[in-house]
Amino acid sequence: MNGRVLPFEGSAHVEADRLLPWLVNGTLCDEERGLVEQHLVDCAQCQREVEWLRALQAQAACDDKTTDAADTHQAVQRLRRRIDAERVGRRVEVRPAGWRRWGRRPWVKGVIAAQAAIILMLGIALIHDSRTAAAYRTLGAAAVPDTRLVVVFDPHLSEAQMRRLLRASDARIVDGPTDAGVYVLSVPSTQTKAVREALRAAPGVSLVEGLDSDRER
Amino acid sequence: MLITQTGTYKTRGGATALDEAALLERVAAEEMDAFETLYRVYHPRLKRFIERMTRQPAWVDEVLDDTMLVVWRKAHTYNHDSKVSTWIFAIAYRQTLKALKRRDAVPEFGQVEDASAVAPGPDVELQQHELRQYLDDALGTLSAEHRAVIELTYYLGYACREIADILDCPVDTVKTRMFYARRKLKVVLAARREAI
Repeated sequence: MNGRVLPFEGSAHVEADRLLPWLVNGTLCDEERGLVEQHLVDCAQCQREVEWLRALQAQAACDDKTTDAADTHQAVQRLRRRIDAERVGRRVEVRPAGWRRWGRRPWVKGVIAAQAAIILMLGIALIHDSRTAAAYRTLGAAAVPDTRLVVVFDPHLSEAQMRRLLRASDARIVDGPTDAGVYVLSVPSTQTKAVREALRAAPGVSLVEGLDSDRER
Repeated sequence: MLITQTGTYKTRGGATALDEAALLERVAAEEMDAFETLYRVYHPRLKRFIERMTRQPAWVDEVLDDTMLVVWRKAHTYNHDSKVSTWIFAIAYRQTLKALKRRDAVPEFGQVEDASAVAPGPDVELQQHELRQYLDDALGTLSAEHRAVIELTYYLGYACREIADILDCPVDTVKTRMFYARRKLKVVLAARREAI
């Protein structure tokens, strides 16, 4: 690859030309966009270039292949096995050396027993606390009327298709999309499981996860 | 503001937002559920990015796993200087370059599917498919670094500054790569048109 970096200070045309790809993808800052748009008014060459770059973007953004949920699930499981194996390996590596060294000291068993007792007491206190403490809610919040699902749609799903999916699921978008294209949907609590399964099975949906896992599982 | 019991998502003015930075913090604490959610969110885009960069479908799963394994191991090093997505794609970019280097691979133009195998027809969708195939072939003539700039700009919609962060290079280098990529694509596509 040619590693030479071109100097971009120079004529307004050259500077505008270099920024055109990001004018087309809509990410120029206000100042840069102003300069480029001003230049575009009088520059037929740059106008043609913008047209070609728009066509390029339209083609590059096309995605023939959609990743289905099963593919993603398989990939997650594969990586999970790898991480679990790594964790087990780490435990196996760490334990013998450390355990042998500390195991020789007679007072260690007493310290461990004391620690275990403290952890047990803390655990009991925590369970008791979580049972009695009221859930923190805003004053206007209704009593658990719905459940939130995190959903990622295929980037090329049309608005009409998305609308049909949401209507069929009796779901509403309450937030999103984030930078990663994630939406948060609100669905009736009584239908959470059915809606989640239906969305997972629907084409054009890459991910469906519960937001409040404790409530919807 | 209300924070759910997991502490992962926040609401402002009643709306709920998926907080990727908080999700990554939970990954740093080795919470497997958070990692799975992050993986599912990024899987489709990372898969396409790696596939487009390497043009070797058989490698994609391995490079993708390597990328997410780095995310799992290094989540505690994320310092909020950039967006989570920029941080993850920077890892994907480095892992893909590593894979290409490991295999000393220079994907060949001829390795991609022959566009002439697609029968021409009046159908608009088919014409679009052919056009995409020509572009795909033309992209195959670019280097992996040039393809990365095209993909990050036109498919993933990143700003020039963000691409510089992902590629860990100056902004002018990104502009230069884009300049050469555009020029080469034009030449290859023009040659293709003449050949038809």
